[in-house]
Amino acid sequence: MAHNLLPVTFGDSRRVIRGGDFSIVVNTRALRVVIAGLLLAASLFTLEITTGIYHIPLRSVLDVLTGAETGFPATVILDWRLPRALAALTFGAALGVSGAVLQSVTRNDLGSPDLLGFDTGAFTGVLIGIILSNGALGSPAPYAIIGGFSTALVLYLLTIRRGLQGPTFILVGVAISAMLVAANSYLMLRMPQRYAIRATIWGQGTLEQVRWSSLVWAIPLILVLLVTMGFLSRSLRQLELGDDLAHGLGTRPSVARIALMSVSVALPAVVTSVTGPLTFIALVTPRIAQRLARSSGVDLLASAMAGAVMLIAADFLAMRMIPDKPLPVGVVTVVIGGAYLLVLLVRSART
Amino acid sequence: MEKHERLTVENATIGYEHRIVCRNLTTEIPANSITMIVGPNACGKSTLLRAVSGLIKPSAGAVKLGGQSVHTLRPRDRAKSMSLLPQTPVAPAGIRVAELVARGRYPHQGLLRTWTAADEVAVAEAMSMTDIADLGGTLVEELSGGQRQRVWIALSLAQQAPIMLLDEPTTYLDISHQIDLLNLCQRLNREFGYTICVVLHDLNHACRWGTHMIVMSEGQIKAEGNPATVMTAALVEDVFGMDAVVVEDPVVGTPMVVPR
Repeated sequence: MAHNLLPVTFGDSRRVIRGGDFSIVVNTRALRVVIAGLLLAASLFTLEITTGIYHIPLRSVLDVLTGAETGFPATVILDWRLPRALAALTFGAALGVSGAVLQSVTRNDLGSPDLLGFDTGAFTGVLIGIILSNGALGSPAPYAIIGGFSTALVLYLLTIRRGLQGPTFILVGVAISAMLVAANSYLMLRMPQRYAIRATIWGQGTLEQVRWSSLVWAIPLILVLLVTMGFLSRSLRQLELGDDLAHGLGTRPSVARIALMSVSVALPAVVTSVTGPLTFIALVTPRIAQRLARSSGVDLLASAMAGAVMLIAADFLAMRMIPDKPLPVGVVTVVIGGAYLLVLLVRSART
Repeated sequence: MEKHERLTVENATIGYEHRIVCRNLTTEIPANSITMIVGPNACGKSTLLRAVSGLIKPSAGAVKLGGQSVHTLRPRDRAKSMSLLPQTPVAPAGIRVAELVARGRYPHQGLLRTWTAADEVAVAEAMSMTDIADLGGTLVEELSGGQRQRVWIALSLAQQAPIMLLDEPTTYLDISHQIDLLNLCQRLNREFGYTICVVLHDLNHACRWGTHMIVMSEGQIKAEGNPATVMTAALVEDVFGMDAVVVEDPVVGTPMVVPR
């Protein structure tokens, strides 16, 4: 049999990179998208660090990073701009991946954590935490994660009979999300005013208040979750083929799905605990990434990249759009996402 | 390929949450056979196949592969012995043929999803056996129904499991593609020694291409064995409530059911 076999060809923009017995099939188009994304992200990162009300030339930035400069520029860069830009990149990547996985598992472009209310639920958790701790909330992450998971659990229990892959799941998610937005407003009104003002800004989704104190745990946690998702992506590829075939190939569909969904709920919950709900990044970026990379199914790496670029770009826009009046980045993502959602709905109405 | 294990159903009661479909079912899928499971709609033939594949767990009794319950086997080990092609598998949007066939390598791959020489050979063999070797880079959504079904079979073949379970694989195909597919099954069985178990609607196809037959009705097995001895007018009357004569197929001489 083996003597007259044609070599396996995967078509254009797929290349087998060989190294001895172990090789890997690479989507070269996705690779190019990721590299372009990295360059774009690096440029935006540099822009966000050097420009602003207080302009710092690139050379001074290097001086700050090497420790040669310790004055005011050091404070601006190390304490304000660097954490903010780093947060934008990692949080954007987290949201992109979460959206990609949820959209794949629910087989629906609208199945993203923001539309389903997981972000809003995470924020509800944080607000409850603020009230319970009387404003002295040390670490909001556990509350955000409990909030996010409770929301997901309620959604799951309400739709258990109809399954995840249908309009019911999305509609119930949107309804829960709407109720949680109302609940959040109520909680903010009930709070003592001194916390409520901060919570209101936070509630719109902002990177303004990002500090190292929260990033030291948020970034490692997100990286661990992303690596976990990388390993789980194997079973995501099987689930794409339908549950029965996935089972036949040696996957446990229900176990795999719960693992994948758990990580996709945890990622935006961690982000929300630092920034408040940053909606629509997770909704928009996976599809853009898939289009650009021409991948089969979702491409997690490209989605991460697209999410990172979109969040840092949106943040940059939010800071500079109106001179001297920085907006919360959440306002910008809502506008982008709203437009995208409109296009999606008009298109699906046509077909 | 792993060695053939005996695949048996022992006193199994099979069903879904609120509905038992088969009670106390005992049967066997003989090694190296093409076993056709036939019967009227809702007789439990797909349910039996789902139980055999391990998709549903019998509430009593067992499905055993080589003496061990398929439900206690590690899923990957089970997948190396037995592949399943469901009625409506899903092709992810934008996937190419070779990429889809390569998904069949999952039970053989480690966490890092590398593409080994063994993977390459298995996928190339699978695509050559199903005559789709030159379609590797084609988008699956651009294929015709017959070609697409070949791709799914190739995915199962790439899995390199000696037992293949196919749930109504000819349903969405026109007659010539149905015959192509059945001939392919026959070749895989005769030349490469696959054990193939097929749920099929068409009695004449089942008689002609099957080497073994399980006839079901209302969740019970009415007859099993070689189609030449099993398929009689009395059985057709009993199971399908249809008045028919059974004649010899003019080409190969297997039983052919002709309604009166």
